[in-house]
Amino acid sequence: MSWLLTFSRSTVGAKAIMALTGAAMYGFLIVHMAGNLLVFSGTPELHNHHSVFLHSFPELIWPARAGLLLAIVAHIFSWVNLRMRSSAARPVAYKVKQSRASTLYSRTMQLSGPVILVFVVVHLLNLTSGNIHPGFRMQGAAGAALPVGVPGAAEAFGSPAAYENTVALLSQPLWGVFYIVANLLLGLHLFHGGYAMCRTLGLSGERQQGLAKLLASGVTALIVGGNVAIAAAILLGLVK
Amino acid sequence: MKLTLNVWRQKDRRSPGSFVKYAVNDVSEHMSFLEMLDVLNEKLQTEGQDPVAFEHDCREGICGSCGFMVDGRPHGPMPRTTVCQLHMRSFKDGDELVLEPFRAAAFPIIRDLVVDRGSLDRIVGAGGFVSVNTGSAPEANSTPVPKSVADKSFDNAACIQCGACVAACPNAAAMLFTSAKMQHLNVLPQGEPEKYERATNMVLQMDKEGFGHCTWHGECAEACPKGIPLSSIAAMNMDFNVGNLLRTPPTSGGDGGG
Repeated sequence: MSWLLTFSRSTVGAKAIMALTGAAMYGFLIVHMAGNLLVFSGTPELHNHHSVFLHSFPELIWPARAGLLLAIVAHIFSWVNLRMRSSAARPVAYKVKQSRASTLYSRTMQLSGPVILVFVVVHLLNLTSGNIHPGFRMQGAAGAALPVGVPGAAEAFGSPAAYENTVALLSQPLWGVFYIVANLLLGLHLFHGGYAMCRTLGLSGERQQGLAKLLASGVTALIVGGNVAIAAAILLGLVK
Repeated sequence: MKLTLNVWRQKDRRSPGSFVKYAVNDVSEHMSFLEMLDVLNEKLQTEGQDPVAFEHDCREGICGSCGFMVDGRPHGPMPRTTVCQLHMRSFKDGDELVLEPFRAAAFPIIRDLVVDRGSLDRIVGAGGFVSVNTGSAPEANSTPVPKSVADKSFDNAACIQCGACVAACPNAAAMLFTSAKMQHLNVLPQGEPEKYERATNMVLQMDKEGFGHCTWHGECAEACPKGIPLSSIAAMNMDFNVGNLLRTPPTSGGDGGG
């Protein structure tokens, strides 16, 4: 396995790990956004049943969570490794340095990344564990909302009342705006990340470069557009 | 025209350096940037001062010897131009310019604007060649190469090893350089048999020299006087990734090439 160690320690290999783990998170975001579009279905039960459905497969959901956690850790670990090396690669900074090609997306990657990490933690505390929430509820066996705080509620009833919890949180202006801003920052990261991912994994050629940009912008627009639409609709009271 | 230059002066690798301000008068717009520095140096020498050291050789934009930062851009403001082919008509009377050496840990400063780019030679030494048995020259038409492939190879072979890509990169990475020196061989039938081994050896040498990683800003390709495309880096990544993950990794210290 020494070849794997050599690979992951190289600048190109570490970037490939960032690209692969990024792709995994990309995939999760698409599914996550698509599932949440159920708030627009008009029937809260559908959204809640979706949550119950996912929670009814602990043997799948826990490995998936572990896999995502591993992807996040590997993504950050590789970045720290590369960042330390590139800092060492230019110990004396330029007095004057002009940029000719870099973009807002590419320059803000190191800012948007940590912001997304903080957002993900807050988001989990908001809507998965319910530690930060104005009135977190679990759903009963029949799908009826039950107040949280009943010992063993999570075990007995399995899943949070996804619809009610989401609407209760995002209808508060501060939270609604926070979620929209966080998603826009996520978009900056996803656009450059999606493009860089294709190139890092080896999509070369002029035509493929266009394809990489198209793919990155399309999927980013889909994810961010979907998420922002949900938050905005709840904030504006279109979804109650 | 009259110019004011802020030039990085540093006696040798170990001495601390600093910016020194010089006024250069009587600059003709027809002078090249290096000729303008020649004028400055002649004046400094007649005044008994040390001339500003800068590297140069052909002054035709093809040897890759020259190169330093002019106002934060490697080789100055003209795209696809080495600093020896940059003319003073690109500037205007009264301009104040900052001249700095290419800055990277892998490019130690020798003196003033001259840096040691031996690290680039060592990357080429690690794999930028084709192993062939010596003997009589092969029949020219025995290995046909399609025009599009030959063009791709030549685009990469245009690299003059000046180091502007490293200087422009926010991470001081030598990705564009390494990929050019690798891909001009990897795409040809003569270089293809060794391409995965070449990719691994050159990338690992690049890392050993202390260059940074690629974050796809694209600054290198914009700064390159020869227009090496960013896609060369993607092609290098492909060869490195495939060679290391999908194929039997090359054994170190290759025993007999091919």
